Amino acid sequence: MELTQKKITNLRMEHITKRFPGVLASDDITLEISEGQILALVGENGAGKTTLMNILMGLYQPDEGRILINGEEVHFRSPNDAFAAGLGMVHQQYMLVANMTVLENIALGFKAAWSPYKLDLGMVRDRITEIAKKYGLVVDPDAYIWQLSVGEQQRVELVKTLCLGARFLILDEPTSALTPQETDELIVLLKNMSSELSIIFISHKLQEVKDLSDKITILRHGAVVFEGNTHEHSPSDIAALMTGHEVDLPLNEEPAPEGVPVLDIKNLNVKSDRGFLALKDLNLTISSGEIVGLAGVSGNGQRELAEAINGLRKVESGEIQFYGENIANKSPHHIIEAGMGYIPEERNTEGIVPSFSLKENLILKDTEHDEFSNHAFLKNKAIDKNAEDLRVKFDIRSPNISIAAGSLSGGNIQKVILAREISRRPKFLIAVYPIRGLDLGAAEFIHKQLLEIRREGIGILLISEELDEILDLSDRVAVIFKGQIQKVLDRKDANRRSLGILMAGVKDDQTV
Amino acid sequence: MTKQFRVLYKVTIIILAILAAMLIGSIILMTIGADVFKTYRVILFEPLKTTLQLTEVLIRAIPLTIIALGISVAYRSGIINIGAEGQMAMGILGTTAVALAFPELPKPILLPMAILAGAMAGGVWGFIPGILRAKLQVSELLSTVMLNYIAAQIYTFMLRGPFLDPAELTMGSGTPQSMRLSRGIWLDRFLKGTRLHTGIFFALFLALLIYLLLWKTNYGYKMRAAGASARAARYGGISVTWYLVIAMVISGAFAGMAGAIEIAGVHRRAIEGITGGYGFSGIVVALFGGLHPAGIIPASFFFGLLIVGADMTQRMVGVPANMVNVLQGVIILVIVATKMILADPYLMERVWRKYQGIGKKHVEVEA
Repeated sequence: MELTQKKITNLRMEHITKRFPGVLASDDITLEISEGQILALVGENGAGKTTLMNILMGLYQPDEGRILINGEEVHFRSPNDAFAAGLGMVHQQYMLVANMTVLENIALGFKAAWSPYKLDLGMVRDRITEIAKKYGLVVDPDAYIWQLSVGEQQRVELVKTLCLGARFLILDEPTSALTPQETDELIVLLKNMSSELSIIFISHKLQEVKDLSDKITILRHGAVVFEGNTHEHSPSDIAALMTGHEVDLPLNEEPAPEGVPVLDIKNLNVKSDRGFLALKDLNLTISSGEIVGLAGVSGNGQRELAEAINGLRKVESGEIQFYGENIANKSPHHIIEAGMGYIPEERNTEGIVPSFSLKENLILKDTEHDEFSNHAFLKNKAIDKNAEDLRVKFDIRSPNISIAAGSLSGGNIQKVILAREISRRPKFLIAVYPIRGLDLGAAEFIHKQLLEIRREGIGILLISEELDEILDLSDRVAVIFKGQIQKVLDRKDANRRSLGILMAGVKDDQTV
Repeated sequence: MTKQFRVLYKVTIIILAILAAMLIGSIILMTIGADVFKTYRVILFEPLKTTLQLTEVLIRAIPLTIIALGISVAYRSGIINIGAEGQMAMGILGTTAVALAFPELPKPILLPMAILAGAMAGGVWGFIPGILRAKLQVSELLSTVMLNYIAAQIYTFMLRGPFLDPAELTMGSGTPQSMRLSRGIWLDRFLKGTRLHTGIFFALFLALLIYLLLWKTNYGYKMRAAGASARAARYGGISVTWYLVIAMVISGAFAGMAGAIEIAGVHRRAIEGITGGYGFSGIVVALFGGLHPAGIIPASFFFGLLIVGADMTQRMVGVPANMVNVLQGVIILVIVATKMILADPYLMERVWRKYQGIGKKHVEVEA
C-alpha cells in the first residue's frame, strides 16, 4: 500500500446522514476543516460525535452524504482506506496489546517495516525517536503496555498514529484520562502540532475546547446545533448550547460533617503489578458523612489503594480498619458484605460483565441475597423490577433491560455501576474517576448522587485526577505522591495551586 | 438492521458453514477414491431408515450429551476441560467397583449408588486439574490431557488385574474385561429388540438440570460471570478460583456419569476401549451445541448419527470409519471459523447494506 504524502488542506463532510434502528445517529451534518485548524466537536454522550468520526474513518458507511478531501470526493470502505488517505484516529478506548512493548505495538501497524521473513524493529525504533523529537512526545519504546499509566498509553497511541503517517488527526476525548498537568502538556503539544496538521478533537471539557480549538461544532441528538469560532463564545454559552439548558456542576457547600472515623488505614504497604511497593506506610482516615478527595497524578498508588481496600490486591503489611474490623487481606466478598461500595477505574472490564445483560449486572454483588434469590433460584421478577426501577431512577438510557451491558455508552455503563453500588446501600463508597469521559449531564447527575449519599452519612473516598471534581465535592483533600499521603488539606485551604504543588511532590508549599 | 435480517444472516452463515464442511469433506473423500454422494447419503440418512439403527444413534447420543453438558459447565466458567476421556474411564471404574462389591443389593439402592460412585470418581478426576489451576495456576490444558493418560493406564491395570473376570482366568482367554455386573445396576431396555435404555431419560433430565443450574440459580450466575469476565466477577465478590474448581468437579462428575450410564445401559461390564473418544467428541458436541443444553441435545444426536453412519459406510461403501474422525476435524475448524464470522459486526453491517440494496431494487421492480 503506497501512502500518498500530500497534505490535507481541506476536509469536508457534506450532508452526512446515518440511521441505526430507532436512532438517527447523524442528521444531515456538514462540517469543514482547513489546514492547520483545530476543530472541537462537542456534544453530550449519544449526541453522535463518535458515530460521525467513525463514518469519517470508514468504520461505518453513511446512508447519505459524502466526504471530500482537498475538494475530491473520497469513499472509505474500511479504516485502511481512511488511513491511506492520511487520516488517523486515537480512540477513547486504546487499541493496544497489553502484553507487548510500545515498540512492538507500533510495529504491528507499521507495514513498511515488514518483509516476508523479517520484522525491522530498528526501523520502527528510529521512526519513534524521530516522531518523539519532532512533536516532543516522550515514550519508552521498551516498556510493556500493561506497565504504563493511562496517560502514558495515550501518548503511545498518539505516537503510533503519527508514526504510521497520519496527516490529519482525530482525537476522541483525548484528555478524558489525563491528569491536569498532562492535559496542559497535551494542549501545548497539540497547539504546536497544528502547524503541521489539522486536528478534530471530541471533548466534553469546555475549558480545553476554549484553550485549544479554533472552530467549534456542537452536536445534539445527531444534528449540528451550533458552529462558530471558539474565541467568540464563553464556556458557559457553549455548555448551554450543548445540553440545551444551563448546567452547573453541583458543589459541596455544606459544613464539614461531624462523623466518626469509619475507614482508618494505618501503615499500609502494597505492591504494584511490577513488584515494587506502590504504597509505602500509607496512613489515611475517613469519617462517616465526609467526602475525602484523593488528588494525585495517576500511577502514584491510587489504583493499588482502591484495590487493597476492596480485597482485590494483597496487603503486604499494615491495617485497614473498617467499622472496627481489620479488612486487610479479607476476601472481596467479605468486604462487600461488610458494607463497602466500589466504583472501579475500569468500568468496562471490571465494573460490569460486558456480555451480561443490564439487569444481570445490576445484581452482580447480590445474587445470593434473599431479595433476588430464593433457595439459590434467582427471582426473575424481582430482578426485572429492580432493573426497571434503577433504569428510571438513574436515568440509564438503554432500549431495554435485557441488552448486553457492554453495548451501552460509557456514561450509561457508569450509571449502571453507580445504580448498583448506591442501591445496595453501602456504608462507605470508594469512587475512582467516577466521571472520567462522561459528558456534563452525566457528570452532574453522578456528582449529585454522590453528594446525596454523603448527606445520608456515608463516607466517600473520591479518587480523581480532575482537580475541579475534587475541589467541587470534597470536605477534605488528601494528596498522594509516590505511595504516600503528602498532606491532607481542609477544603478551605485547597486550591488548584496548593494541590498542584503537592501533587508534584513538594511537601511544604510554603517553600515555593 | 431488522431482527429478521439478523436471524436470516445467522442461519445463512450456518448453512454456508455446513456446505463448506461438506465440500471439504468431499474433497477428502475423493482423494481416497470414495463415492462422495453415496458416502454422505449413507452417513446422514442410512442410520435413520430403521428403528434399530435409529436407536443405535440415540444410544451414542446419550453419553455424548452427558459429557457435553459437563464440558459446557466448565467452558462457561472459564476453564477448558479436555479431560473428559479420563474422567469417563474413572467413572466406569467407580461404578464397576461398587457393582462388584455389592452385587446382592436391590436395584433401587445399588443403581443410584453405582452412578454416584461413577460421578464421584469422575469428579475427583476433574477436581485435580481444577485445584491445580486455582491454587498453582497450572494450565488445565496440560493437566487434563496428562490425567487422561494416567486414567487410561489405571483403567487398563484394573481390568487386567483386580477387576478381571474370573471366568477369563479359568478359560484362559484373558480378554481384559470385568465379569458381567449384577442385574442390580442394569438400566432397562424399554424398546423390544433394541438396546435403547432408560439412560436417555437420565440424560434429558441432566440437560434440564444444567439449564436450571446455569441460568436459573445464583450459582450458575456466578459461574457464568467468572467465565465471562473473571475480573468483573472478582470485583463483584465472586470467588473465581472456587467456582473454577466447582465447575471442574461438575464437569468431571458428568463425564463419570456418562461412563456409569454407558456400562449400566449398554455393556453391563467394563471393557477396554469403552470410552472410545466420547470424551473428545463431547468437546465438539458442546461447542457445536453453543454450550447450551438446548443446542447440545440435537448436536449429540448429529454426532451419534456420524458415528453410526461411519460404521455403515465401512460396511456399505468401504470407506473406513476413521473418515468420521477426519470429518469431525473439518467440522471443528468450520465451527471456529463460523464463530469468528458471526462475531464480526462490521461484516454483518456490510452484508446488511448489500441486502438493503437488493431489497430496494426488489421493491422498485414490484412497484
